[in-house]
Amino acid sequence: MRNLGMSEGFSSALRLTDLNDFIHPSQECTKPVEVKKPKIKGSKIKIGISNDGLYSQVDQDGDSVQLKKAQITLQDCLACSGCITSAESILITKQSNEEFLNIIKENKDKSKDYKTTIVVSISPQTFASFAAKWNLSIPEVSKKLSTFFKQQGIDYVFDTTFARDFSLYETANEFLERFKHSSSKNQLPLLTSACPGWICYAEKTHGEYILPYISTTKSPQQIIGSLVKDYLAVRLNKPTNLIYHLTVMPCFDKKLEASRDDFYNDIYKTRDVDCVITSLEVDSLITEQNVDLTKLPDSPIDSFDQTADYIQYSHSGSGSGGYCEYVFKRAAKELYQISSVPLNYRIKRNKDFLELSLEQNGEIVLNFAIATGFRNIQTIVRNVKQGRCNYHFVEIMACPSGCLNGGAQVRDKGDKVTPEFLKKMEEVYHAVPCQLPEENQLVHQIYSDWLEGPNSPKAKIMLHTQYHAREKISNGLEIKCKRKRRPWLGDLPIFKNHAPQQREQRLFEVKPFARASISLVTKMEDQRICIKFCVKNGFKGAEIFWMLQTAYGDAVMSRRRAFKWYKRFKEGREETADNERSGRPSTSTTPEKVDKVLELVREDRRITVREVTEEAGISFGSTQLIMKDILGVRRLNAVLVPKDLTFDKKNARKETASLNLEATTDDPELLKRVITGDETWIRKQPNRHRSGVSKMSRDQRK
Amino acid sequence: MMKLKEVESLLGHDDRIWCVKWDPSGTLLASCGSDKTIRIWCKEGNSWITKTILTEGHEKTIRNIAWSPCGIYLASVSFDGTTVIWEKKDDFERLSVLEGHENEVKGVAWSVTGKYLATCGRDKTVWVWEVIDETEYECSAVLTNHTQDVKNVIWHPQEDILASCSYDDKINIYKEDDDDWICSGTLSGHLSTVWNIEFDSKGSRLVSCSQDKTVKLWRNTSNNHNTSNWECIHTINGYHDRAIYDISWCNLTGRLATTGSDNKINIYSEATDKNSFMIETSVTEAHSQDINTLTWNPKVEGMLASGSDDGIIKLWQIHE
Repeated sequence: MRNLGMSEGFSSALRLTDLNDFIHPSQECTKPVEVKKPKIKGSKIKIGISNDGLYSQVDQDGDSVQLKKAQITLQDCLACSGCITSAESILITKQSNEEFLNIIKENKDKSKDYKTTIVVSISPQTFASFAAKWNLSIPEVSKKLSTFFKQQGIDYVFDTTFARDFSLYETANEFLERFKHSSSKNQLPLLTSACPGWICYAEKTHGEYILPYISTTKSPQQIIGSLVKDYLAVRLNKPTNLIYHLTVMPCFDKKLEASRDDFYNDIYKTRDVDCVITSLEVDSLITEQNVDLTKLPDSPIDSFDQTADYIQYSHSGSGSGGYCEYVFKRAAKELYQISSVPLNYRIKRNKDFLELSLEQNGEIVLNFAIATGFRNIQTIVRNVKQGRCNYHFVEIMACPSGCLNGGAQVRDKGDKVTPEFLKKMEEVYHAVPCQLPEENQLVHQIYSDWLEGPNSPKAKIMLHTQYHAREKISNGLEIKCKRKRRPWLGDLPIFKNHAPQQREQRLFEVKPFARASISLVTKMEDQRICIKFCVKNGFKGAEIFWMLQTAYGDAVMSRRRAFKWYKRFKEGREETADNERSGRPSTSTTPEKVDKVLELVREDRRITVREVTEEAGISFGSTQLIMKDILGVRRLNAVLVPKDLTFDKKNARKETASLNLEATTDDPELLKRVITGDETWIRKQPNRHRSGVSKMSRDQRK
Repeated sequence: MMKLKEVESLLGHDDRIWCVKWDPSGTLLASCGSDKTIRIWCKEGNSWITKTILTEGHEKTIRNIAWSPCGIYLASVSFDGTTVIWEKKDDFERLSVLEGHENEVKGVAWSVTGKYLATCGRDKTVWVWEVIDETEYECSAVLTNHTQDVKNVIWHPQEDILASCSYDDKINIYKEDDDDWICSGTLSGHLSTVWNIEFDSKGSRLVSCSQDKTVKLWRNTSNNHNTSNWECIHTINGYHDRAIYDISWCNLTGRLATTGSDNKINIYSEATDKNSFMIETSVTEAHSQDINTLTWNPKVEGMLASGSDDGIIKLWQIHE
């Protein structure tokens, strides 16, 4: 919860998808949990809670059928495009300084055989960030940071540049392979996969249209994850779950990447990367501990080669890893036998869009690009979708200027990385001697020792991954508006991600509900018209009501209402539609009442608006107004939550509660922002009870 | 005594009308609404008729439309998240579809040069698209300065300066900086959603209308259009009983027209010192339901078009 403001650190591609909206999960959270409804005779069904605390459905005859609990896990949320990002915010709060300091603390008390080996892998962009801040070179600062982490109690400190060797090499292989088959569908352009912000955006919003073009190569972070949890684990003879792997990355998006299901090991219940912290978080850790980095002694970065020391190196090209440049060089060399190809970057449209091409006999044979920042991603995506992207390869990063400008790099001033500071980072980053991946002997050695050679099935598993189109879920009520797909929109991804039968099913579920609400309105108006007609014909009120009853049966309006309308028409009213409610002067939103409501909400964060209404003696509407507009408290979710607390859980709860209490004293504003915690991930029949939808204010609709 | 008289009711839309816009020549009126169609109206003989109906463009409600300054292109934005560009030839032809917004798109506007198109929507963003050629549009910025639903965008009448208004009660001004767009000013003062904004013909003043039932007049106190130093110089209060949804500033007469959910149309005239407005006339129950949109004809003095939830477009004329 302390990470409420964290979403600001995400790349703009992710922020766009509702991320800083923590308190307000999207109304579209309709993770379509398939609820198999037991068949029940009769129309009147009650849902009750049986003695064992489970929900059951009781029909007219009293027969009860136990309802299945519909569960939504965080992973489900990650697979949805609705409130996804709020869930992600919660998920990544597990990845923080506190979390890994705790691991270290716990580890100290463990007996030798059960001790966890703690590994930290640091990205070169993080080194650049700290080098710029402390006015050191990257090799210097890496030794200081290594010391800093080892003083915390960490066993190994690696540099992810080494993993990037593999990432670059595999990306280039993939490109060359695709280039050979470039005449067939979905081969080129090859889009890079190292940026999780970009991957997440592509999966959520462009699905099947873009994913085939994205390189399957894992990012350096995930490759070092495999190296640590597989290669290193074997070498150290440790089970994977006794290795804790922490990475330090230049952006928050990397936390999401590490949490992906694809990088989870079911057998050992562990992830390739257990925890990701950012440059910014390490910086605050250093500040908290009052450490002067320059005064720390040196200790070397560890190497995967036991026999030699690790010497800092880098890859030429962009600060994001030089994907474009390396693949370009490899392609020129292997396809056109040019060993030192000229690298003339051209700025296209804006400074975050660079082109690199190779001409042969007046013809462009290789056309590469680096596109960074959200707007340039748009351009690429648009062109790829329309089949007119004439690049062979595009290095894509969500942050403008790439990873050195990552959202969680150390700030020099206030909360921003200034252009000068970015320039300084670029200088220190490019001052490190460069080397090609294939020049690194250790890479060759590990390919043969660990991966059974390049292109082996094991290399495929360890170095490649896959992507999943997130089904775009539309607001249930709007589905009825959708007509059959028009032919000319055929190449747009509006419905393609849906499996046809799923669509039908949802259509079926929503429709009756929508129709019911409409017919109710029209029926009421019908009745008013009847009343008006009768009034004009001189019938008495009671007679009219009796006639209405005969005509409409159960659906008749209440007696009181009928008489109200009778009176209105009698007085000469013509309009049968509801009066526009006039704006009554506000009498309820006095400071006292607001305070009262606030007090009530504070007392019970699960209080309903109706309960507040009764307690405070204010009208329903005003209560809503006070809660929404004045206090700004919002419902996180409105679903019943079964509570089966075991003793352990109760204890855990007690602990959480006291932690929360502490958090509240630290930050008095906290409670204003939070209504309820995370239990609401379990909900029943989400499709039926999406109460948020109907409560959307008129203002929001417009 | 000046009066606003109804000239004609244009019937045709099956559902509420969200937006009406005159083309730059003032001879064509485009309208759009919840029935997912755009209608183009023109005058034949003495009455206005539907010349064309544009269907098959959007999957959901069409919220807003905008004519390009040359009058050849029409951009429409919809709750289905897309922007469609139509070209006026003998008939209207769909040229491109711009995707990018996460959900409902609510506002659209062409820059005065026709070089840029801006859109905004519920995803809290303002997008600036650069027109490369007639079918090719490139995203040149995604601005995330608003914290809520962005209701509308407009361009400065002379410069490439953009303004947007939002559910976060604020108005933002953007300009081009190097090769990116930045927010150069934020106008706060309204107490609730700012529904619409409009520049005067020179671009040194701006009016805004809001859910808080007021209209505010803002002036850029710096002499240069590129620096923005806006301050509120006048607030019109007390003439609307409910939210004010639309405002239009007549280039020919300097008159201001406002309308909103109280079914009323108000006309104000400019004071001689150009610092305030006075009510001239008010038409109550101009429509039977909320009036969402109104706009002055750019060429015919005193001619006004309005569109409402009742599905009717009305044409009005001022009689002095």
